Amino acid sequence: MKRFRLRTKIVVAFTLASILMSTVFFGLIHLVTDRVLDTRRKENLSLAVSQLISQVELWNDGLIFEDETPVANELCWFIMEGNGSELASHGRDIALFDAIPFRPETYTAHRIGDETWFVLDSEVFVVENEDVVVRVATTDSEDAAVLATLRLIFVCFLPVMALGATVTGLLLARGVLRPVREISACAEEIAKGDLSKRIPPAAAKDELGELTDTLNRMIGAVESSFLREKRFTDDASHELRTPIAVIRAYSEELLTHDELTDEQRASVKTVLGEALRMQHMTEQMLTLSRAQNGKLTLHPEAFDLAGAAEGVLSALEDKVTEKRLDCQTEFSGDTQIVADQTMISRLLLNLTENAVKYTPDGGNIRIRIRNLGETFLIAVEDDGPGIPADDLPHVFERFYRSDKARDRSGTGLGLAIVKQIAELHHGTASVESAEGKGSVFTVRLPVRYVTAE
Amino acid sequence: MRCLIVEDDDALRAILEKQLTKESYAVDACGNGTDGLDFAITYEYDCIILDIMLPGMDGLSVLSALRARGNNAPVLLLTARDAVSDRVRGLDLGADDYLVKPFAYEELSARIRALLRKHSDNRSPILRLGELEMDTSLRTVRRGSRLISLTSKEFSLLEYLLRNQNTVLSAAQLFEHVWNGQSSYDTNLVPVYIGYLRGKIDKGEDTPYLHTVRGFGYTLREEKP
Repeated sequence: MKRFRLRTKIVVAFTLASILMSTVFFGLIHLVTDRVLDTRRKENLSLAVSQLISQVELWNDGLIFEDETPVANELCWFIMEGNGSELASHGRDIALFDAIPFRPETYTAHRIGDETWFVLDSEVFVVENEDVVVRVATTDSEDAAVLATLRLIFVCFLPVMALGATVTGLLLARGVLRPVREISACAEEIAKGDLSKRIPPAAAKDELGELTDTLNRMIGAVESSFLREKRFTDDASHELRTPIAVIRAYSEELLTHDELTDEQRASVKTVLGEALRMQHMTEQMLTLSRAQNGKLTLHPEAFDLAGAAEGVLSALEDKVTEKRLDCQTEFSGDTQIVADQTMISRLLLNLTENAVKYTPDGGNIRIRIRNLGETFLIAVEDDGPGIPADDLPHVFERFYRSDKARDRSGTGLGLAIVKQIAELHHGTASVESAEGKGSVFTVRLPVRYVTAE
Repeated sequence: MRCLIVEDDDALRAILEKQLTKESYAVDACGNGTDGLDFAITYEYDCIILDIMLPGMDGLSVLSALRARGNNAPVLLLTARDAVSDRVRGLDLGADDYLVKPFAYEELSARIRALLRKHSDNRSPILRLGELEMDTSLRTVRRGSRLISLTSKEFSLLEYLLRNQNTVLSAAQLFEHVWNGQSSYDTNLVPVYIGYLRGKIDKGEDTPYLHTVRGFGYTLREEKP
């Protein structure tokens, strides 16, 4: 849903802006029309006044058409002498204006009932030494109708326009957002781990094109720095093999000398022990590094997991007997698996070695293998001291050791390798443990490894 | 059994590696003479397949360097059809056999087996110990009448043990002849695989053939009562 916020914003903003602008525009038109109508009205009334005045003159000259009004019929007019007496009038509603005081050269508007009347009082004319004033009045009904029609048009037009604006907004948003979405999707793919991919360059040379270029350059920089680091781990481990082999060879040779004192012999043995540990560690790191770089090829074969578990236990027989551990195996279902035998053997070995290492003398270890149809569930359980909750999520990380682990033997990479092997087979590795309650390491593997994707 | 392929044609090298691995050999492969020599010195190979035309250091130079150091690993040269003088020189320099390109893979496979036989005392493709019988050309194993099914590494381990029967072999030695350079050096796997073999050949039988010699390694021998 996050994706739609921008689109909604664009559409809503666009629609509101259109509505606002057309309202303002309409308002202006309405105002201007009103003004124009008003001006015209005033002019009409002025014209009527002139016509009436000339009528008055004619009248005094003897010409009068009482029944024929010289001006437009809908106008009401009123001619009176300076003393206030009416000379002539016309219009049904003219009486309405009695209440309105006469003011020369004034144009006023009055709301009477539900109509608006516009009244023009003329200047004082002198006709044959008499003061004469003319009052002309008209309603706005026609004009009002015009404005009303205008408003009606607007009201009808508004929803149509709003709809049009919304549609345009949507199209606009889509046009702008689609490339953004594509870039985003591509970037997410890359973020998932494939640093070799690049966002396809945009056709247009606009801001989006620039963004794509910049992003691609950034990914390139991250990739090469990452590769350099990966390379380093690989190369370093590889380079360490030789010096370690030399230390080992010379230490072993030294031990064949009979003339060594006990103390000297013990020292050389320590050196050799540490050299072996280093050797083990570098080999494991190389494996891990190769696995991560996708340079490890799996050679899947059909073999028996139960046999593997038993083989692993027999390899650890000495240690098990020494600590008087009780090891049990539990198999349910068909234990034939298709996977890389060497890797799975190493996985089981690492898990079981761990269990043996951390279980106190006389403790219990249980290896359970269950066939769930498409998946194998392999569980190695021990009743050792368990893993503290803080350390639990980090247990499969390289070299992770909780503060509590006083046992500094081993390489710290065993579980990282277990996880890597599980994942190479498209499986998972997890652990359940609590302090004082022992641990259960669980590995899920497909019954039949298939080179996926 | 462990093989080294030194061949600069990528496609040929890849297919040979694949085929030999399928036949349970532990295979290391490289594309130039200098690397080839490095590999051959570092590890103990049961057979080296060496192309004559190589970048870096040519095949014959690699061969003579190896023999000069006292390395007697069986070498099979791959030569071009018209390079007779090369073949002659190669054999004189210490190669054990040659094969002319292009060749059928089956022929290469058979010649490798012949080399392995020549290098041991056994003259037949069948390796035997007591009731245990391995046919190296058919890749089958039986104990008595029972047919035993082995995975690739299990077969390779058993073959090496059989070829060196009655000898005590260390875990390191066994690892080196059964796993190739791609696997990280992890001799801890050897006892595990010995366990697998035991489960398949000795379980339920009166006479165990696979023995652990404490502090030294493992051996395949018939324990006479």
